[in-house]
Amino acid sequence: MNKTNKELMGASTAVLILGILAKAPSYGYEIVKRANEESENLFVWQEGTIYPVLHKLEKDDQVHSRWEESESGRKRKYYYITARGREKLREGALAWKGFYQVVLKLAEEPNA
Amino acid sequence: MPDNLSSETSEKIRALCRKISVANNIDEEIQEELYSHMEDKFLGYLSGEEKITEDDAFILVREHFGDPEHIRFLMKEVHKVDTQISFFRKLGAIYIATSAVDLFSGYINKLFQLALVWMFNVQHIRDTIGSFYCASVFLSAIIFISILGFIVHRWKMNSEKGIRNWFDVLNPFIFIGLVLFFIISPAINSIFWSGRGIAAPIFDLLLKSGVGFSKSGPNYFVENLMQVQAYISGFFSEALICMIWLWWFDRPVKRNLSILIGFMSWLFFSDPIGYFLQDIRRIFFFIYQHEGFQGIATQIDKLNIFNPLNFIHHFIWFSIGLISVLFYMLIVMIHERLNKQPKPELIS
Repeated sequence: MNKTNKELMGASTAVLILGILAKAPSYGYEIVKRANEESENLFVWQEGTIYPVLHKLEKDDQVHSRWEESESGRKRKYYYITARGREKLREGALAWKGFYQVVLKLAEEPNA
Repeated sequence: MPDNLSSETSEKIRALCRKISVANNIDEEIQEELYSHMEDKFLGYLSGEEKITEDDAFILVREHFGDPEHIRFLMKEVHKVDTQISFFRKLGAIYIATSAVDLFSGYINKLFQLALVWMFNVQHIRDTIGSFYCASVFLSAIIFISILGFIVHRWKMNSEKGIRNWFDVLNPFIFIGLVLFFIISPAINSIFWSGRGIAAPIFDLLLKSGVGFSKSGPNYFVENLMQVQAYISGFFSEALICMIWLWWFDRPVKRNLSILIGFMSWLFFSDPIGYFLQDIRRIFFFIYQHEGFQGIATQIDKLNIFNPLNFIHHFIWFSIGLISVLFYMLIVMIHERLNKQPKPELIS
C-alpha cells in the first residue's frame, strides 16, 4: 500500500468500520475480511490496529459489543452500531463525499 | 476451516496476546478478543480460506529462510579467506587511526589553548586559570572519540558493503612503515613533541614557566568544576577508546560486559600505569633539578636536545603507547574468552 493510501486509510478507518457494522453486526476478524474484500484489497489493514479504533468507538457510544458463541463453538465479540454511530457514519460519509468531490474537481486536468 | 488449534499453537498465540497489556482490570477481555481474531486468522490460513498476499508470502519466505544475521555469520565462516581482513591488518589499522587521531586532537587542543590565550589576552597558558587547560582537554577528548568512532564506523560499513578499506589494499611494506612511523615518532623528536603516544608539537608560547592550576580566586568554583570535568573526560575517553577497539574487533560494545571492561580498563590500567610512569619521570626531574614537585613541569623547557632526560621522558611516553596497544588487545581477548559462544549449526 502506498503512502497516500495509508494516510487515507488512517483517516477513514472509523467510517469504514461503522459502514461495515451498519450492514450487519460483526466481529474484528470478519470486519477486516469484509473491508479487504469490499475494497478489493485497495486497503490492507494491520489487523490488530482496528481494535483500538473499535474500543474507541465503543467508548464514544457509537458501537456496543457483546460476546457471542459461533456455530463452531468459539466465542467472539460482536460489535453493533448504535444510533449515535449511524449519525456519525452519515456525517463521515458526507464529509468524505465533499472531500472526494473537491479533490476530483481540483485534480482534473483542464483539457481532459 | 478446521475447528481447533493445537495446545502448543494456542499457547503461542496467547503469549503474543499477553504482550498487549493495557490495564489489569481490562486485559483479560481484550486479550480474549485478540486471541479469537488470531485464532480465526490462523485457522483461515491452514484451511486455505485466507488468501496469502505478497506481504504475507514475504513474511513466510523471510521466516523460513532464516535470520540474515545468522546466515551472514555462517557465510563469513565459509568464505573466511575472501571476506576477512587479517588480524594484524586490523590491529595495525586501528593503531594507526588511534595515533593519527591522537595527533590531530592534540593539535586542536594546543590551537584551542592558543585561541584562549589570545582571546583573554594572557601571556602564557600556564599563567592563566587551570580551566583553560581543562577546557582544552575536554574538547580534545570529545574530538578524539568522535573522530575515532566515525572512522571505525566507516570501516565497518565499507566492510559490510564489500568495499575494501585502504588498509586492506595497501602495500604491506608501506603499511608496516606507517605503523612503525606512528610507533617510533614520539621518540624521534623529543623536544618539539609532547603528549601521550604521539602528540602535537609544543608551541613555545605554552611552555614558559608559570603556575599550574590556580587554587583560589574569584573563579575558584568554576576552575575546579572544569578540572573535575577534565578528569571525567579523561576517564570516559579512555573507556570509550577501549570500547571502540572492542567494536572494531567485532565485540558487541553495547553489552554490559563490554561497558564494564571498558571502564575497568581505565580503572586498573590506563591512568594508574600512566601516572606511575609519569611519576618515574617526575622522580628523574626531581633528582636532576632538585626542585619541588610543583616545579617539575616548568623545567621541561629548560632542558635541551642533548639532555638525556628528554629521551627518558619520551621513551616513557612511547612505552605507554605500546603498553596501551597491548592492553587494548588483552581486553579484546578477555572479552572474547568471556563471550565464547558455540558456533551456530549450518542447518538449524
